Amino acid sequence: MKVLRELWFIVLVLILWASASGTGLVPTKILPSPLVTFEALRTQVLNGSIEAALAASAARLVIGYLIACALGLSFGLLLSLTKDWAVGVQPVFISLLSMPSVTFVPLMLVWFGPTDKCIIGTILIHATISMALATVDGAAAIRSRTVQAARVLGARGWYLIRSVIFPAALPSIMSGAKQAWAYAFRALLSGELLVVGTIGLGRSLQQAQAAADVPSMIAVLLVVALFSQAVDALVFRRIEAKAMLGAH
Amino acid sequence: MDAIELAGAVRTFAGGGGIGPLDLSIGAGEFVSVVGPSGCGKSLLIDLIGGLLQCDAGAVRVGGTAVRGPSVDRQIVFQDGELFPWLTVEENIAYGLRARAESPAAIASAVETLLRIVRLERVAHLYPRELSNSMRQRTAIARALVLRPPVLLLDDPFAALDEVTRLIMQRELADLWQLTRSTTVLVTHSVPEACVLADRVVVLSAGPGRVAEILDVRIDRPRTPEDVAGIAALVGRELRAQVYDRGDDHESFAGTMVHRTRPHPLG
Repeated sequence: MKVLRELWFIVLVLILWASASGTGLVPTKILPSPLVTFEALRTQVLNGSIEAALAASAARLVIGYLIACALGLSFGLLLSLTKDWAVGVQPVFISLLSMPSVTFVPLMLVWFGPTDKCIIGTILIHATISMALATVDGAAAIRSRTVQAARVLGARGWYLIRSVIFPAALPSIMSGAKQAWAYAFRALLSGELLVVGTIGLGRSLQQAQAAADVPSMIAVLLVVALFSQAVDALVFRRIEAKAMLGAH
Repeated sequence: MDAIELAGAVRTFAGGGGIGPLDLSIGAGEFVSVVGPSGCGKSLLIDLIGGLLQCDAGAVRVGGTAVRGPSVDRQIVFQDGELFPWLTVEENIAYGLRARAESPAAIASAVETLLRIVRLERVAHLYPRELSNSMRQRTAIARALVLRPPVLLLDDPFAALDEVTRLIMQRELADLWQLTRSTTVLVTHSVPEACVLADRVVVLSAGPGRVAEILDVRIDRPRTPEDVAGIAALVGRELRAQVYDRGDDHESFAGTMVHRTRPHPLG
């Protein structure tokens, strides 16, 4: 029953997909059958192109994401220490965050050329801001009594941040980290779709589109979806489960 | 052990409530309980001596020097303990020692001693949410005492405990105080608790709280609630006088009613 509840929708989509393209209801040029799509995927796996693309994309994503987390966390903590000054930063951050990351790609192209740096730069903007805002929110939500208790016990400066501000803000920081990952992933693909001269999942999509190779396109989309699922299941859910242990 | 001196201390808030002007001298090593009507600013007194709030006027001095901020020499045990939920019992107790970067060996032995004194050895590795209320408050008391504070400030630490546990904890606190002789201020809602523990009981007036009466408890320790029944009755009478015998209380009650029946701005 549990498996059924979790998978029924995917199965339904597959059935609809197969019947739509198999019965000629939708032209196979627009929607190839699942079989043809999996064949395209198999070819890409066998010739190693999809693995190379995935590896290149994942490397950019992880590098950009980790830098963004470190930057966002430090900046967020710094901002929370100067509580009154955060009001000058938050509106700017929120408006930047509401802009699609693709809008920054042209600027990054001018700055860095069609390189990894350009794509990582695009990733950094939204992921860093999202992380910083979550850190500020988390720190702002800490009860003043908690901080007072720490100060009475002699906590000051860095020790206070490390031992109280950070763990107390951790639930918010964790949700910020997850959101930052989503932003980073979007930025990665926007960047890769536009930046010619690199390899990656976005580039593979773009090339398939240029060659009107719809099965390969859908195959890449499936890989993107699976990758995102895998990271969520293997990284974020595990960290969340751990973080819950230390929480209230 | 430091003496505490409040001289004309006043603290008010824009939204109402507050304390003072309040004059009170507490001798070095003395145990003083503070009782008063709800909202008279009892807990505020702890915040002022603890340095978490500053007075608007007057002065708070501890050991002869004016209080300007919190200090490890003035430990506070908060009403709900304020334990750090992400630390275990022993990590909570070690917190202050780690803050002043003592050696791991010194920390370990000090924490072990305190765990034994407050009888928490068996739950040393548990997190606060896994503890009973009384265990939590014992942890909070141990976390403060491990720093050997000259002044110990207790903000109604047993409020959340049932009657029997409360009696046990009072006895333990009395024993601990005999051991440490920290200058201790206990704010409490319980008149028997105030009398069982203290050398002197301070009764505050209704808010803004001032010292209405100070009663000496000249009874040998250890004491039981029965031992202090007489003085507790006196304190209780004084407290009731502060709550009921003031005309302006009825006025402020009426004021509340008028305020409540005012039409809702969006209604």
